[in-house]
Amino acid sequence: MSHVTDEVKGYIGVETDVGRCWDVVERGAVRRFAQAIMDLDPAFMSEEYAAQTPYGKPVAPPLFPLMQNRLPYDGTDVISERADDPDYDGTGGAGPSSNLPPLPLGNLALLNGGSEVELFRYLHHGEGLSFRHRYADIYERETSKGLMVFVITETDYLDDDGGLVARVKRTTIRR
Amino acid sequence: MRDNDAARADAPADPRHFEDVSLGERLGDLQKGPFTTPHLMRWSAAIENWHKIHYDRDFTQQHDKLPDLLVNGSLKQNFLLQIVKDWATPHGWPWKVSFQFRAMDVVGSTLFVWGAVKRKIPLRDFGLVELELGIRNQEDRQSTPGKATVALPYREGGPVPYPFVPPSADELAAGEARAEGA
Repeated sequence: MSHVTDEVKGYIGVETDVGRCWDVVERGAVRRFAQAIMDLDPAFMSEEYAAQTPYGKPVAPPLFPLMQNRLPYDGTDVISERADDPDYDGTGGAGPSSNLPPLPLGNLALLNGGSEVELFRYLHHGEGLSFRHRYADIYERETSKGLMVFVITETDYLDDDGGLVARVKRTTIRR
Repeated sequence: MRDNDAARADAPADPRHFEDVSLGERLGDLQKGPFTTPHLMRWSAAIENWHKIHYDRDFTQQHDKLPDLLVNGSLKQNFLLQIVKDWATPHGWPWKVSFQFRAMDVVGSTLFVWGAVKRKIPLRDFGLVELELGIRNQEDRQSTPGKATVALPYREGGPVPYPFVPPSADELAAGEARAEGA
């Protein structure tokens, strides 16, 4: 049975307003990110090292902006709201595409299918970040593991001057 | 090179110039793991991602019918960026990186990140180098193929612009034509 109905196709082209990330680039968040990816590049933390690079000051890891759309302080606590739902998979409420309207695809499981990233600059500690998401395409394909829905979203990440930091095209697989 | 390689220099390495790069050249290999549940939990906490398939084994196997806890795709993509960044920067720029998550890597895996030079595109002010990337596990199964395009300075040229200014479509086409004729 096809999941990509006319209603689902109607979401293609839907775009969000420009949203601002709740947090600026925190030094502690950069530390935790770098430790978690196990990349202790001195450019992420050392003033002395960064001064010898084109960046001038310490920077966040290249893909740090992609993970900065966090749950606002007064955001909906989905984890508590769905605590008794056996189908709740822990997602929702925050995340890179969370302020796009959800697609009417029921409880199809969600997998990360990959991304195309274009980078223009790194973020410095203390900088703010904004973003704009859009559904670029939604289609389905028969695979060896059954019918899968491919959801393509595009996101622009913008600095405080509106300059492009990164542009990302993501593929999310629903099955 | 192993994960969390602390033997980092106090100053950036000398620039890698476009002329110094050869087709087929391998980037330095990078090992990550073996991955434990705390590795996955540490990443999930760092990015505030509470998707259960990375820490709740019962839900992962019984509800989502997956073989075991998954190494986050959002974590693996950083490994591809790291191998490109460490090879090209700070004097070059990792302009484009793409990757596909074609197979799952589960908890317990050790991942090996690799890269190789596929094509060189000489532009007016700097050169572009196209890379083939990938992640394989301890059983030599490739899970995450990728590609990248990095900008490198010429030996006698100026610095790669930062923030990076991509070449125009016309300039890129001219460079690709020169690459084909080389």
